[in-house]
Amino acid sequence: MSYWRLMVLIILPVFSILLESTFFSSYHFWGITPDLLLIFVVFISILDGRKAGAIYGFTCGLLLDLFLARYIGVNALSLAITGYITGIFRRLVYPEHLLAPLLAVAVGTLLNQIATFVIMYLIGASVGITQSYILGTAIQAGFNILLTIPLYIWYYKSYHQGALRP
Amino acid sequence: MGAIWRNRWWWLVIVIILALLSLAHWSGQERSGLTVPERVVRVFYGYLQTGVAETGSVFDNFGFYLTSKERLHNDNKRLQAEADQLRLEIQRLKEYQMEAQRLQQLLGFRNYSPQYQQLGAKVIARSLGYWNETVFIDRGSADGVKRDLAVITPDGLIGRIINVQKNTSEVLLITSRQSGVGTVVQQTRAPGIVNGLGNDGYLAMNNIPYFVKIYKDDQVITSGLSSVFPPGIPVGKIVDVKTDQNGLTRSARLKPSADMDRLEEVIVVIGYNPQAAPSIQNTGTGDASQGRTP
Repeated sequence: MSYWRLMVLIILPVFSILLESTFFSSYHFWGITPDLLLIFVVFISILDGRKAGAIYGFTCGLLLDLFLARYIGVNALSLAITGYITGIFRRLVYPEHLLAPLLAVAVGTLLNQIATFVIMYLIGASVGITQSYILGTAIQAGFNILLTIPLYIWYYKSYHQGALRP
Repeated sequence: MGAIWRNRWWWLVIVIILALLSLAHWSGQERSGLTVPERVVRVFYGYLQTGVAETGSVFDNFGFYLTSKERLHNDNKRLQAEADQLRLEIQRLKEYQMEAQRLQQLLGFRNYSPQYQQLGAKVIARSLGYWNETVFIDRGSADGVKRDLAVITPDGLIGRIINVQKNTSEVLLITSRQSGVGTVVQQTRAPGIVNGLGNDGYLAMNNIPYFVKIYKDDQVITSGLSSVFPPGIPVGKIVDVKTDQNGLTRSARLKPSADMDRLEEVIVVIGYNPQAAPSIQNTGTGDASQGRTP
């Protein structure tokens, strides 16, 4: 792995968490903000394979867990699962086609919410599926899909010609 | 299938999953402090978030900058740039005006409520995810903030401090499912514990005995029975009351008194002196039960 790729892959989750907790928290819709971490985990997953997606998802999730300082491991697990499963889209749709990340991010958002809910339920946290939770998931999927288009164009170009070249 | 279980990597994955589930269960409980890795990450993000909050106007006007940049390419770019400059100035002045109004409100509250020793704080960030309802403020142990102090706005209770770093602190919002506040209904003095309902934005008061009088629009305030929240802080207003299936208890849904979606400046109650409370005047509420629907 090149030095630049490593640097970018470290900087992406660090700034994603910073942006989500500051900038996007001012521009949220019903308290829902886009999930940049998930988007980048899905990108890794469809371009580098499901094992890479799972490892990157685990690392990003752990950083988020340490930042949140509560239920440490929940996001690490859910993002690792999401990264692993969305890697399937690598085989189903060509990564060159914009449909691949769009589908993968939409499915990934849903998967991540389900995984988080199941893990929280397993560890005995107070969780419940409400109408606003379902609506929130739909809004977040919409947010994520909107952001996927410009982000994937940048990421894909950088993956083939720029700093993110493997 | 058997090949999967013979692969030692799968066993490693299972061990990691079980270890993480145990860690998640442990870290979900009330803890007296954070671990070293959590503290390192928090301090690191504390500096970044404070930096972002201080240059917030740049972010606030981000859309504006983008549009003005586009206009620079137009024929009348010089005039347009001037107009944009003025618009930015107006936008900034509007922000200052609104900030001044909010600070005036806080100052008024401070003068009106001398019983609370208060520390003003700015909300610098919100936590992420559906199940973590916390905000971060720009005051920490260096300013005298401690764990379990109440955080309020002039409108009502916001939450309590759950984690403290040197220059920042984390506030667990009352709308969080992990939150519990000892309260009484102001008019009828009916006691109860108010819990959050997550991102629904509402609060719940459960297990109210059926004989206790409780009505829509009743104001619920902190009871002061716990060591965390001083008494008399508005928590919320009752939106609806339902009788539970057992017929012996009722549950009420509350709308928080403070606007939890627009938290910018808040007050940390660093001390409470009941002797300093202003004398009680007739607030004109009249008979609490008149004209109400249960």
